[in-house]
Amino acid sequence: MDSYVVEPQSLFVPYLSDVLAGAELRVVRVAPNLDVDDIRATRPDALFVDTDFLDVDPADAVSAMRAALPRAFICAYTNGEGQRADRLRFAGANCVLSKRSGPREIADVLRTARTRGSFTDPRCD
Amino acid sequence: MLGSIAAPTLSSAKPVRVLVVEGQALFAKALCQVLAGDPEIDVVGDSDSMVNAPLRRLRPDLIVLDLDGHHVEFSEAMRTCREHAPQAKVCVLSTHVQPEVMQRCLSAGADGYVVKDILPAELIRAVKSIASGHAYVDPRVAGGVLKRRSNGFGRAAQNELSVRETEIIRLIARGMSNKEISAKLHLSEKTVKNHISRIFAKLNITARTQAAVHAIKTGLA
Repeated sequence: MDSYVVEPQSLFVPYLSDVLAGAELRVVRVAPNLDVDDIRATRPDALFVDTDFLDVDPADAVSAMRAALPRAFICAYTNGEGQRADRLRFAGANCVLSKRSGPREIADVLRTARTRGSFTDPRCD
Repeated sequence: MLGSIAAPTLSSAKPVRVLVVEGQALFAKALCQVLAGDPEIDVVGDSDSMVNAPLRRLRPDLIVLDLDGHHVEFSEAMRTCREHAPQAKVCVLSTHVQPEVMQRCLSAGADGYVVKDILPAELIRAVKSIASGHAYVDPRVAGGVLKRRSNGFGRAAQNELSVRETEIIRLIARGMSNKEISAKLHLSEKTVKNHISRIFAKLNITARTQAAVHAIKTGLA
C-alpha cells in the first residue's frame, strides 16, 4: 500500500519507514504537518499521522484526512489516552496506535488493523 | 541545513557512554540505531523517563533526553539526573524551535539543544561535541537567543517561566481551555490549574487574557 506519513520528527522517519515496510506500507511521501491538498494530490492508500505535534486539533486533522480520502486506511499515532483517543477514532481513524508500542508490535497491529478494518490500542483506552 | 562545529576527535579515548531517555518507544529505537552506528559511541541503554532510568548502574557520560515525550517538568528530570548521574552531560532533543524554550533548558542545566529535524550525522557530531565538553545548540534557535539577550530578555530571573509554563501560556494565547490544554499536554486539569496559578504569580497578572497578551508581546505566541 502506498502510504503518506505526517511526522515532524524527521530524524525518526527512516526508521519509521522501515517499520511500516514490515507491515507492507510503502512510504511514498512524508510531510512535517497536515497538508490536505498535498494528501489529496498524492492519493495514498494509507495515512500514518503523528497526532501529537500537529498545528491543528488532532481529531480535526483526522476528520479532514477522512473527508479528503474516504477509502484510505488512517493510522493515528499518539500519546493520547481515553477521550483523546476516542476522538481520533470517531473522527475516522481506522487504527489508534500508542507511542509505547515497539517496532514489531506496530507492524503486527497495522497488519491486523488492515485485515479487520479497525484497531484501537488498549493502552489508549 | 544546520550549522555545525567540528566534532573533536575521540578515537584515542574510550567510547562515549550514551543513555537515551525517550518516551516514544519507536523513536527510542531509532535514536539508539543512529547513535550505535558510530564506533566512538556506546549506547548503554534506553529508558522511557529519567526517573525510571538506572542512572547509577549505567554511569552514562551523556544522556540524550527528549523534551517532548515526557509528562514531568524538565527541571525535575534535570534534578534527577544531577542527583544520580552528576557526571553526565545532557543533550536535549525537541521539536520546539522557540529560543525561550532552549534558553530555559540551558538554564536548567542542559549542555546541548538539538531540534528533531537534525540529520543523523549532525546528531552524532552534536553528541560527540557535548561529550567532549563543548556546548551545542541548533544554530537556528541560538540566533533567537542572542537576539533576546540583546533585547534584555536573557537574564535569568526569579519570575522566569519554566519550560512547561511556557508551553501552557502559549496554549492559553491560542485560546485553549484548561481541559484542552490538559488533553494536549497529557496533564490533569488540576496540574494545569496549578501551572496557571504559578504563571499568574510570576507575571503578576490575574486573567488569561493578560497571559495571552504577555505571550504575544514577548514572542512566546
